[in-house]
Amino acid sequence: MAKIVVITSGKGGVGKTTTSASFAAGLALRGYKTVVIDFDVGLRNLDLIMGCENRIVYDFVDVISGNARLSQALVKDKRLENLFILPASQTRDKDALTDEGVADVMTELSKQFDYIICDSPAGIERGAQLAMYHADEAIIVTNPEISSVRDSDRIIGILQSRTKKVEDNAGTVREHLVISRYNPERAAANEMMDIETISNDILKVPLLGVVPESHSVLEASNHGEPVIHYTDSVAGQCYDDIVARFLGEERELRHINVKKKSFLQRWFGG
Amino acid sequence: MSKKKGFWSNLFGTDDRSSGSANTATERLKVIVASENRLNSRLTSDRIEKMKREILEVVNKYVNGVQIDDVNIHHRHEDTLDVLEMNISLPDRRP
Repeated sequence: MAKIVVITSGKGGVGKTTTSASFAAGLALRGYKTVVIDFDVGLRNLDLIMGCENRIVYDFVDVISGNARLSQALVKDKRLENLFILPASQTRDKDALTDEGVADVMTELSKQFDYIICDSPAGIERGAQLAMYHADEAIIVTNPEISSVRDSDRIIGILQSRTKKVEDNAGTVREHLVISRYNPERAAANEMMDIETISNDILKVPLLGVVPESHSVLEASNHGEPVIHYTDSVAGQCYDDIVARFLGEERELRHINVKKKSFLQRWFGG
Repeated sequence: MSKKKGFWSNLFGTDDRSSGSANTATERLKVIVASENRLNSRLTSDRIEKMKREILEVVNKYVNGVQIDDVNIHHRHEDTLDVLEMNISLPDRRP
């Protein structure tokens, strides 16, 4: 039986797809057979971030509507043998995903994979709720910014009440927080909420990791590579830590402290 | 608020944390989060059970003989609405 993990946030543009791609790739790098599903019907992007946009023949909606078999729609990752992508449909409307259809696909994938990663669309509507419905665990991605944190709080409320686990009285969805686009300098200057405040004081969700604002995220997306493959980059290393912690390893947070300015830099206001 | 530090504060590295806006954001968020109260999780089955007993207590001040099984509370979601339905059947009126 696969473990199902939803990557969600409420707000758009906070890094759900970036996190989904790197998290799935990280699990696959550690030998787990992993599939990552794009639930954003009509606005798919995961294929671009994973660099497989030219190899899509069938998609999630084709499988649900019976136009294709699941095995025909799964796209193998270009680097990793044990990583697959189930792309969203770009053309159909979002009601094409039916509850039963999604449930059947989840059951089928559960037999074949160790991990199923669900990349949620933004919002708190049907698409987001479908993406989280089958989840065992949830990674909530938030930015250190007031509207993003509030939306995360909303999505946590929904996670705690409208999932299969809760409805079946089978426990709760385990929650993890990832803070992305963090800027240590601005947090140190008290211009940005810090990690502790967001995780402990407001959302009260255990912190899985912090990804600082990093230009390598954009560069990786330009190339269609999950940033976790950029092992020299700050973001790549932080995603590697996130996967390690998820799997139970203890790892210190890194890249979250302000680099001390030298005497001369301070003198000249560098 | 991010203004360039003055020459002296730069030179002596004066820490002006109090001028940052992060605290304002935190305080505003705390209020929002507390008032929205995780909208969907505010009524767990434990809390509904507790509410039932308290309601039963109040009802029994005015009507005798209502049992806990006569109090039915149903919590459901309807699109964007959270609905709490309560139904209390009273015992037969004695002549």
